[in-house]
Amino acid sequence: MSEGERLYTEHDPHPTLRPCGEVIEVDRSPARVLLVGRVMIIMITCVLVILLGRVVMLQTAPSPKIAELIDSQRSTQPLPGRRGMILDRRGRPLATTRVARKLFIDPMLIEDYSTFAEKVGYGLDYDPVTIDMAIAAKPKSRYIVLDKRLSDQRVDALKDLTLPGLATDPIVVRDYPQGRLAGQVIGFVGMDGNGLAGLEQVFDKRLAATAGKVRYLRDRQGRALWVEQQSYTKQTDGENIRLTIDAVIQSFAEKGLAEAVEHFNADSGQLVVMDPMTGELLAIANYPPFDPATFNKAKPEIQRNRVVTDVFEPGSIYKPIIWAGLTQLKAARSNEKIDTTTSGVYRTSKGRRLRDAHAHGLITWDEVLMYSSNIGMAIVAERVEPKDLYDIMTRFGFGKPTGSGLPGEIGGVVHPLNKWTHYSVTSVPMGQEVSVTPLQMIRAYSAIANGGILPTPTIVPIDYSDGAQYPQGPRVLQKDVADYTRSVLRRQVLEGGGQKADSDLYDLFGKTGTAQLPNFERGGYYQDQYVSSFIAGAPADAPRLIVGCFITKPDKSIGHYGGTVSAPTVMKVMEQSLMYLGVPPKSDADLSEHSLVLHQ
Amino acid sequence: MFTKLLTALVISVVIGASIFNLRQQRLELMHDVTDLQRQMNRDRQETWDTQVRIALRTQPDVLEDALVRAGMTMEPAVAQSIPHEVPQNPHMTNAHYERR
Repeated sequence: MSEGERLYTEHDPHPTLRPCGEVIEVDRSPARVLLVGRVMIIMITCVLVILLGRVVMLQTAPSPKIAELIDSQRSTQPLPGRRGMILDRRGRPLATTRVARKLFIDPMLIEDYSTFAEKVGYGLDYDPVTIDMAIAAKPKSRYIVLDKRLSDQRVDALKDLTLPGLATDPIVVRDYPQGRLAGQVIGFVGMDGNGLAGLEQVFDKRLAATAGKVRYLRDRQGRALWVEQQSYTKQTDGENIRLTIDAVIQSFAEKGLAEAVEHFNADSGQLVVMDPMTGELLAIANYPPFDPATFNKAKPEIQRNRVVTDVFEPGSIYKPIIWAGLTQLKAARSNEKIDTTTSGVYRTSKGRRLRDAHAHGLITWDEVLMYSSNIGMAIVAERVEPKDLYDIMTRFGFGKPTGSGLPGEIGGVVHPLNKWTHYSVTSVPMGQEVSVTPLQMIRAYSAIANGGILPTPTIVPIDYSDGAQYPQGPRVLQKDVADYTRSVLRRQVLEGGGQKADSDLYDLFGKTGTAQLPNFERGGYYQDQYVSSFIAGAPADAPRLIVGCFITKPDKSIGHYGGTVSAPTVMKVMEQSLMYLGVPPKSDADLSEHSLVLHQ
Repeated sequence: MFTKLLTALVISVVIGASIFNLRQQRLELMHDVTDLQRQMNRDRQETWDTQVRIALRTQPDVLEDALVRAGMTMEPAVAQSIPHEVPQNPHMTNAHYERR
């Protein structure tokens, strides 16, 4: 048997027949199949391993050419965090953050500069010549900023204007939607978004946001496919901060102050509204006003919150503080007659010559305050030790910051006892030789209003949920002395210099002040420059608000007395604010003459 | 043996196709999530803008002028308690994007 026959008979029951009849033998033994299979498996495995290796290589260390191609399909986008809002006590935003648009031009995509400039100029209300010149100056640039921040009107107009080479970029900006309202208090942020002044600076850490970022893989058209692994960093928003300021009361205060300053052609002014029970500051107005949005154009002195940063010699509005302190010391009885002379001139025991604006003769201790008699105050002050006067001043918090938390607050000047002269004992009771901030004065009057407790002014709302009772703070006057002082100050409004603050709606108590400005160059005082002030509280029986107005350098030819310049403004702001707060007017009040305020 | 190999091949193909399909679904989901994330950011920024626009239109002066023009008479506000809690931004926190 031939070899072929052997194979045919032993191994292949179905030999393949060629057309010529020749038998082809195929080795289909299990061993060979296994061998072929193994070889194929090994080959396929090798191919797969090579492919896998290539994938790994492309993923981890692609060639520069491929890496460039991959990178061109990736883009990192920042995720802006939002700086916290500053809100008023009812949640109205005073400072907030939004995304605005920056308009830019890519000259490389523009065919005809002049036509482009005209279309953009007329479409978005710009000067076409300026646009043309900007492009001509940098024709090879790909990014010429035309407007750093588009107005809302222009953003709307841009929707109808599609031009090659004209595009916008988002920018995060700080906005002050209430405009100049409480501008000096709010402050402002710099270009990098950090607080530079006011409460923006004080609360910077709490307000600050952290930007995040995300990296997208994009398709050929630049559309985002998905966020790449390990390339998402979450943004963190800043904390919203609520203030005690009420935007509506602030608006009353600023309008009233502006009217007064402009009417009396004065240099500047401040007006403060405070809750005497809690110390919450409801309005802090400064004139001239300041717009935080354009802080770089404003003079530095306008940017200051002068309610806490500037001091002045208070003059007669200081008398109630000393009067109450002397009354508590029993230096004089309320009905005790004091001889303030019929000439209005008095020489003190130390030889100092004092004058009253009007001669009052023999008047009671109450009337000394009602008529604001310098002589009467000096006579009684000489009955106590200088240390007693000094104690009264420091007890009311003069000479140190109030702790309001407002930036730049100073403590004013109370000279130490060893610096006092023979004149000091008679100067201090009429508000001389002492420098105070408007906020210190408002705070001191709050103690008279609330029964003798000196509250700490605050710009951050108080948490009432803990059930704490107010007022809180050190007691500076006995309750009966505080209440009695308030009743005498009520008479000051009814019969004394504060009559222009006698409201039809609410019973006000208060005190006027007309302090000459000190002349630091020549010494002494200017004869024609004043701080005209008035501080009042209302309603007299249960005070809800203290309002103080301080106007610097009013035009003497129009008026300069505190009772003329500041009292009407205080009354108006007080009426508006109390009505807004829903405090019932006097039962016999005629409301028909008064327009009621907003209900928000 | 051939049947076994064929079966193994078919199973491998099926598994491969399934894995590929799952990967495709995952990519589509990632794309959808990315779209949602971008939409959320746009909405978030639109909310900021809307808040500003509302604030501009509800300034005390603007409201007062509007009321005067409308000839409306307002009543004094009723004293109301003011909650101490400050409302924080009501937007989403992106927490579901955070890698756990």
